Amino acid sequence: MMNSNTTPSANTNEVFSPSRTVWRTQMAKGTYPPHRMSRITCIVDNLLAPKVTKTLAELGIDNYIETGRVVRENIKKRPFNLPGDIVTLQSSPVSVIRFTVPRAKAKDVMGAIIYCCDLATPGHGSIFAQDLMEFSHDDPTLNLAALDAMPKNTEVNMLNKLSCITCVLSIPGSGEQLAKIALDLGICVPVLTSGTGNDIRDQLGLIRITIPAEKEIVSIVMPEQDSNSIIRLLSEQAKLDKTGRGFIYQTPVSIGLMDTRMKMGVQTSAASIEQIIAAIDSLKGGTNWRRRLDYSDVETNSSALPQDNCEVTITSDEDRIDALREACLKVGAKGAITTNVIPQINTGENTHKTMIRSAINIPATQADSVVNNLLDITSIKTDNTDKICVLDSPAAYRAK
Amino acid sequence: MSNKHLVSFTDALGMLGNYTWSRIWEQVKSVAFIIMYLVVFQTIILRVPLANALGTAGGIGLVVLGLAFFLEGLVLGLMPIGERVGVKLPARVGIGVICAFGVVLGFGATYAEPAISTLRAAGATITAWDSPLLYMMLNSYSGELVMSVGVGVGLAVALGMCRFYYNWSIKPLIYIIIPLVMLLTLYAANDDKLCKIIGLAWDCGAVTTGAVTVPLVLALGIGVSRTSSNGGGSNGGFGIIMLASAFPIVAVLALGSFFSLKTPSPVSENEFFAAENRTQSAVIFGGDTSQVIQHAFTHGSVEGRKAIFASEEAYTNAIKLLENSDEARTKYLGTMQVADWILKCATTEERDMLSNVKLSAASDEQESPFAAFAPTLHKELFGGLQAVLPITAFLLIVLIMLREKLRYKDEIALGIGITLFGMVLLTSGISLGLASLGGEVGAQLPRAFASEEKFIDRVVINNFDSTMLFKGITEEGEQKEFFNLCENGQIRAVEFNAAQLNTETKQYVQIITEKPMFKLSIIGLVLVLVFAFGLGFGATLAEPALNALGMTVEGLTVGAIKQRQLVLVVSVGVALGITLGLARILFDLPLYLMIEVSYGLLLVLTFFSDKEFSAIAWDSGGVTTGPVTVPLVLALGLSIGGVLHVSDGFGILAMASAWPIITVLLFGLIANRKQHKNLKNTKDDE
Repeated sequence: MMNSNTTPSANTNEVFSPSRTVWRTQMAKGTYPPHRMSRITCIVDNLLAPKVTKTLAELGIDNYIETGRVVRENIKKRPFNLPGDIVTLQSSPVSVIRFTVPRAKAKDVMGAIIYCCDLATPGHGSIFAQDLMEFSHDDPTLNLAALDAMPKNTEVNMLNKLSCITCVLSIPGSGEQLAKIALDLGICVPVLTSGTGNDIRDQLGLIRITIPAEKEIVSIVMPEQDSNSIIRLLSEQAKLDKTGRGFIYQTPVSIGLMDTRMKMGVQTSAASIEQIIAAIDSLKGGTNWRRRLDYSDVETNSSALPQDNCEVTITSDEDRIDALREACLKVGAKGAITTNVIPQINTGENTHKTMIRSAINIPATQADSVVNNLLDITSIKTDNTDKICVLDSPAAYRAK
Repeated sequence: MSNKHLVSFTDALGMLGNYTWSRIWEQVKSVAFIIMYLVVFQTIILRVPLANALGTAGGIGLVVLGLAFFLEGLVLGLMPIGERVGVKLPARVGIGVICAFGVVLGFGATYAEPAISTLRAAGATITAWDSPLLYMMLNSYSGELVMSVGVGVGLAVALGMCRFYYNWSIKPLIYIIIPLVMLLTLYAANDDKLCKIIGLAWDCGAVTTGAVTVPLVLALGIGVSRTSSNGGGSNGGFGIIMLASAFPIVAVLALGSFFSLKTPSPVSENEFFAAENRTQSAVIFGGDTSQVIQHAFTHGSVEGRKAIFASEEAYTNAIKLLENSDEARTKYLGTMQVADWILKCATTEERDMLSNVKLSAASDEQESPFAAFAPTLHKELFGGLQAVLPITAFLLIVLIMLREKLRYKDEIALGIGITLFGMVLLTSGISLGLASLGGEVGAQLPRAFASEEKFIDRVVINNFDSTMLFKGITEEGEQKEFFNLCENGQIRAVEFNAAQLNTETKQYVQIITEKPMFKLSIIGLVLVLVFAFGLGFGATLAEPALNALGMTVEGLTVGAIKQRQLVLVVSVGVALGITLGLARILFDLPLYLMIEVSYGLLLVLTFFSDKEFSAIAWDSGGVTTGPVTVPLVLALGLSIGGVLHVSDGFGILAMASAWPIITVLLFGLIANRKQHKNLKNTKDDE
């Protein structure tokens, strides 16, 4: 099934990066030179979303909005002064806003957004940047003069060495269960979005109607050193070793500011545990001190985590979804998850409005051929609608 | 799709089994409340055994299956088509064509799911002399009425499309349209002819949006708004149903004012039936004088009937003729059965004149509990075909004209098939199970508050022997005479009434009456209102269009608003609305005032709500009055209205669509406040 056009240069010492391989290949070809960019994902409360889009419009940055919700624990005292608390999950709607900026400017743009939404306050949202390769028709735009003039929050101590765990689940309602585990472990405020994935369904006949196409996607951002053990834990909890339940993968985050407000409601102490953690994080300048799960502690399953994957995301017009899927399937890459996004295009004309974002996690060996196929069918050669991002994914797990 | 996975037959069967069971179980949960409620109410509170329990249970089984199939079919077949058309239409054609498409769709949908029969039922007790315009609109001009509603819905869908296309906010539309409708209502309330059709107009708005139309229009709206949304929010797609409920009100009121020019004014009953006014009265019946006479018998009081005839003697003769002349029966009663007439319309004197007519014979036939199933299924099949096929065909033709290819054709075909199948099962099940159960309870309910005994039947005892009488005494020392009556081999003492004995023929007529349940009628009234609340709540939980709306909202908000939450909030609103609507009938409150107050409150709430939630809330009002609620509510309203001799049963549905908007808006305001508070709290934390 696997098509090995390119063999990964499995260097023993140097950290292998599939996206760098893709970059090298495409630069050598020269037809569609990729840009080294940072993708910034900004997760803010719906009420704050207009502020972000306004700031981005001033900066001339195209962005794509997805709707989602964050889940927090709501703690209430039990009625009639009974001892103990009632803990319920409370969802609040958020907008997930994604855009790419040149790597050098990522920190400044993030600072401007943190300032405008006051993201330094726990509960307002989170923001993180991931380094990746982007293919697009035009060069990325950024109004540097506006960026310089804009007030920025540079004092807040952003964390580095984070990683983003994306968990795609097929069973309705399982997203919330997983979110609860993340909250119980005190990892971060999980973000739930929804998408569709038709790959398993398409291989079945009409019996596919019994499998929902809707997937729940849980995204968790956490310290990198814990990610492997957390992936193990989550995949065990979500029983991802069974076919058709979903998959999980990790992508690196270069820099980020996390929302630490995981609990709401009664607070008995002067500062919540999240506030204390955030304070120590900023004192220590990182999350390394938080390391609590020793990698060797966790029972090693026979199914080792496959390494060296890469996440390819395509933002394109909805009409191209079939062509995209075919391009991926041609080289045996399965499991694309598609989400509807609302484009906020500030440059050029805004003709394509029904846009989707498809994300696919593939082994490094397939990366080059998938990107080649995608570049051929997307509109990158003609206009600036479609964009392809290639991002490393050091760990991924799915049932065979 | 070359490399298809082969699923073994047993695996496939397992998958299918799980899937089917989960869908059915969901519907069992959604109808459980209303069924339990009705059964408990009837057997424990009203203490009446269930008639044809087996048949009713079968009907309820059909409702559950029907709901499961219908909703699944919507999700698989109809909604994807609707959304596809919505996405593709603005991309390929101009706004003019989109509006034309909207008009055709709205107009067609009204014809496909005719609500006129429902409205006729609500207007069954209307009297022609009191509300001539209303009577004419429901009977002589019902074609025009449906057409005006269709035009209203068509314009509403077209305007809704414009809203999405140009990205207008829903709020200005609400602020323009609702006050306009309220003003029109106020104007109508001050006109002695038009004031009678206010209830009809508002109910028309409530019932037009049917179970197939709502999900389709929602999906369509989501499609169109996806192509034109500017990031103002992704909760687009709502708002058409609200427009489709408001426009028909304007259309019906406008039609009413047009017809009011050539309609006679309301007159007193005697004037109406008097011979000299006969031709003028006949205008209401399209010039047919024989219908005037029939109307006096079926809807009028004894004064009206006497006014029909030249003399008292002619009247008495006419009544006596009913006893055995078939010709007279058709002439005076039309299609109504004599026994029915005696039970429902006749006074005691008239009843005595017809003492030889057997009353209970008609209902004595023993039938198999499932006898009604085959004809009902057959009848509903045509209704289902009419509701599903034309509208689906229309959308498919539009897709073909847009040269748009559908993915998963087999799935969509299956979806349409399942929708149709579910629709037939659902509507049959409702008429066989749910409506008959609701009707039984509804018919018993007036007993809860009626202050006088109700005539049920009479038994003639031949060869009555006065020597059999014996005496009894009350605590006050009053003496009463009794006789022993043998019934089914058992002896029962019955109070003797000398007036009922005919000494010449030795016949004693025993009147069987039903005693009121509560002496104090205030408890009875409360009971009725409480019953109405539970009925509205339970019926709405099972409403398919609302469940479809809930699913859509949950999907669009990625679970921030859960389907279950929305359905519950709406159900509470409907329950409140139905209780208020029934209170209007019970206490004879002016409907226009209740409407003005409710909608005034709504405008205020809307002002404080955000625009996405406003659209969802106003749409929930339109979807609530669907196939499950309407028959149950009407059965209740009519039986109570019949006892109280109110002119019509309208207005309950209007209230039932106003109040869910209020509860949903309140729910939204609370959620919104919480969200703001959470954001604000975080600031305070620092």
